[in-house]
Amino acid sequence: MKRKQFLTSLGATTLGLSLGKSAIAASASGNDTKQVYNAALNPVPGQTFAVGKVVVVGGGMAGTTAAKFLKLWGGSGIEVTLVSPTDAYYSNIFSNMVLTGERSLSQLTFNYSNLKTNYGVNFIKDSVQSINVGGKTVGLAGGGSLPYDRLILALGIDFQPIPNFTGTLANKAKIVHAWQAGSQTSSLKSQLQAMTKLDTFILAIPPKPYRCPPGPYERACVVADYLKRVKGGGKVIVLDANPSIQAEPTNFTNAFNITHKGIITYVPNAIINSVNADTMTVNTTVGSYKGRVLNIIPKHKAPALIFDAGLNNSPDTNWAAVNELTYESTKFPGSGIHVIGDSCYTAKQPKAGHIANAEAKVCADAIIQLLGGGAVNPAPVTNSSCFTPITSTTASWLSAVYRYDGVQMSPVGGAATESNGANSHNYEDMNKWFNNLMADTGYTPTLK
Amino acid sequence: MLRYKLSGYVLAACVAITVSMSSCKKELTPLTVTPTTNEILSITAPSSSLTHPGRTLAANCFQCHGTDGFAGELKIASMSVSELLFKLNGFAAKDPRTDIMNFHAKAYTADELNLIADYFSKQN
Repeated sequence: MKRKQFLTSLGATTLGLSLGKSAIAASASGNDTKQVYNAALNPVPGQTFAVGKVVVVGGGMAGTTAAKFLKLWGGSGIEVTLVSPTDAYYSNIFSNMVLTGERSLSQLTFNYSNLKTNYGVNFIKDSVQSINVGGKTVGLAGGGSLPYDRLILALGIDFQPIPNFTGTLANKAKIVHAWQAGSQTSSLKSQLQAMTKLDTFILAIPPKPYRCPPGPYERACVVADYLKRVKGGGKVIVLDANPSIQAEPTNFTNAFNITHKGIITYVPNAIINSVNADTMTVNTTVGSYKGRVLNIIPKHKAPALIFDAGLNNSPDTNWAAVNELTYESTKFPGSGIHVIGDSCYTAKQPKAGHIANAEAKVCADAIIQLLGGGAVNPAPVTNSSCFTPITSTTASWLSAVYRYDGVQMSPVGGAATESNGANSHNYEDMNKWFNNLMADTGYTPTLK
Repeated sequence: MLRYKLSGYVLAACVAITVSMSSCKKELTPLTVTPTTNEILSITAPSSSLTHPGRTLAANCFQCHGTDGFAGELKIASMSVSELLFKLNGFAAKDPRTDIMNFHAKAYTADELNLIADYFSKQN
């Protein structure tokens, strides 16, 4: 090293500053939301009281937010390495609108350039295969290992097998969940677009807990809206393994019974016994249903690394239970292993992108305190807010704030609030929410 | 070697930040770069972000209003405390189901709202 490197980095940093200021100036006019993605508006500070190595595994909403805020709040003394198997992130939020052609997958593609350039996060394109809990290292699929003082697992979700799933391989391949945006989203889009007004789209919702409680009901609405607008009709049968609508019950009940009347049929308590891909039939505890398109979202579980490391100590053994002040695993207290986002278990917070961002900030703040010998915040607050399209021009929303009650994060007022129906004003707010959420998380949109 | 560890911000931070940084002073000596006034001004925001007691509460506003309030639309950074509190109190009086801010405005204590408003007023 590397005087040249240092000077370059100093130059880049100063440039970053001036970019930041121009972004602020541009954003003041309020007409270019893309500007907010492009720079660290407040730059990463120098070394604070906290020093250490943090490895973040997973580049979704939780992991990306954690990496950004460890640097923004913890300063240059915290070396943050983000390990992700892909350098492109497809947003799950808004991906239902890719099915209907209202958005493109490329509009929902994000990368980590802002995180790397403006926040100084090291990025490694690889997967973590193993965790040495005592030795505080992770083993990479590509070979080698990474040491850490604190490890953050932000792994998202995995799926349990569809029960008694039969059919030819080719037919089985058509039955997708499209619950992780990407190639399955494109597949389901093609299948939906091939439908006629005489066809039926079957959407099977898994038992809770699953990612994004309003998401499946939103999908039923935008698919129904598409069939009506573009195909002149069609049927959507919602087979819900749960006994009732899991989010915004009033808004979705009205959407199903009034807005999309005649198209959507809602069937609660429909637990899947078997699926036949050759006859396109779903057999459930409340009857058998046949469709042109089967969109089965299987029951969820945490990804394999959580199980391999023995971290799956939630009551149902599918998720990693955590101390809700620090998000450190309760399986190995003091180990420095933290789990955030969808793969962690907290008793009352949902699994979703917006709250994963909030959990990541609480975790990042706690880790900075722990690395610096400070006191962990005894009263964290998180929030979950979410806009959901009901048609191509209207949206509804839900909102909840969670506070630590001495044991766990509990919703203020006991429950989430939902909007008074769907309207076009909410639809405009939804677009602002999405842009600002993705920028706050630390993403850079790949489409310029 | 010491100087190579420094970034421009450490240097500027030593000048302007209120956080104690004893190691910083040691490292300042070998560096010959002097921050401009603009650089010092522009890092005063993160210094207050780092130590401000409202930071973690305010972070719950970032998702919709941008990191530190700097959203392109819905920007709240650098608004005055009185303006922010006036707006928050207005939201708290609205119908919970017609304005998404109603729930958020009511979920915090008056002291917490003061801290949050003070935090955003200092972001510029």
